[in-house]
Amino acid sequence: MENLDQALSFANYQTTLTQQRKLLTQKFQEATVIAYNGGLFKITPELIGGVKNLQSKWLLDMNGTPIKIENYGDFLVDAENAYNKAISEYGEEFSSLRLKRNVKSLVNL
Amino acid sequence: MTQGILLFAHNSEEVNYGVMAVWMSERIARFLGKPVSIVTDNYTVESLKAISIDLKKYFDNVIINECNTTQTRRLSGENIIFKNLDRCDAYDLTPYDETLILDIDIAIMSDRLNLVWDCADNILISNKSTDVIDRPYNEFGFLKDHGIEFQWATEFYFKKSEIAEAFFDKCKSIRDNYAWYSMLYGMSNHPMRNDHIWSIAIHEMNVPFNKIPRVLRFATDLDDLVELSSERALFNVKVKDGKTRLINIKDQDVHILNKFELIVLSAIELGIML
Repeated sequence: MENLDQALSFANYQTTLTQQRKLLTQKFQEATVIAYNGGLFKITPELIGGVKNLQSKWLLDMNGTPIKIENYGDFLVDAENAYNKAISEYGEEFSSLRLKRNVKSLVNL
Repeated sequence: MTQGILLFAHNSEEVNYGVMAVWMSERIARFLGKPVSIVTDNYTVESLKAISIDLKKYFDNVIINECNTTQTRRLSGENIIFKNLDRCDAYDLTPYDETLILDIDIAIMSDRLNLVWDCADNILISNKSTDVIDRPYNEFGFLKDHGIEFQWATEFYFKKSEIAEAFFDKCKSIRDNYAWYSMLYGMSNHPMRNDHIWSIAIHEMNVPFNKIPRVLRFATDLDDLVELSSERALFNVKVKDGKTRLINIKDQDVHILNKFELIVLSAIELGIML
């Protein structure tokens, strides 16, 4: 516990806040990738909107691999669910961080 | 197509890698829900039996492979002996059609790695990594200045396929001729590192392999692991001038290089007395 107290005394609130925010951003980025029919898709509002107007059954995944999407309805359900869950969690956790006023609370001690 | 995760664990006198593999298997069951097989040796199996661990409870397959090449490296300020070069034999050892190889020191806290299954690729590599507080580590970018790109062997996905077989043949060839390759690529030949074997193999295959869709987050062997649970990992990490900083990782996987503290905390999590 002595080490922990020493760390807390040195820790800088702003750098800890920045770092914890960065982790939340990384978590959001990871949570907005879905696997579908062998492809990996980075889900963005632009992709969701764009897919609704597509005529082709082929969609490029995040690695540039063409993936056949037989049913855009199913794809959109997966994409929208993943995005909605990720952005909601990101928003709530981000807001919660802003209310924390010291290092202990930032790291949930 | 069978799918599963392959772990490698060979105990040394200093480090009980077997306990870490058991802990890892528990985490995989909880977050990924996939079968797990372990490649290990009789010494490790006996060590685990001695502390009343039933391997059948944690692993679908226990594959005995005596790994005789021992190496030493400096970790957390101590010299430790380790045996891990049989990772190059994963293609022959795996019981699965689709295999995800993982190091046993990754704290799994999310289901993100499940994205790899049924993918269109025969191989997915891992070369995007970040330190938990973004300290720069050139060694995880390139093998040397102006050298080839660094690749992690820590997590690696492959399907039984011609290209995956060729990849592992290349790895075995590099392992068996490491002195030559280390001279060729201008790196130290001791200890032999799986990450470097992977880096050279991927470079020499010259195939644009796709990547596991996430950044590998890691804490170094000098960072203190203060708290570990299935919900979070709390680190006290070293920054400049002897100062430290706390960082709380939640719902994200993290590769923990401080094995000594990881073993203690993973044993506590498993309810094992070491």
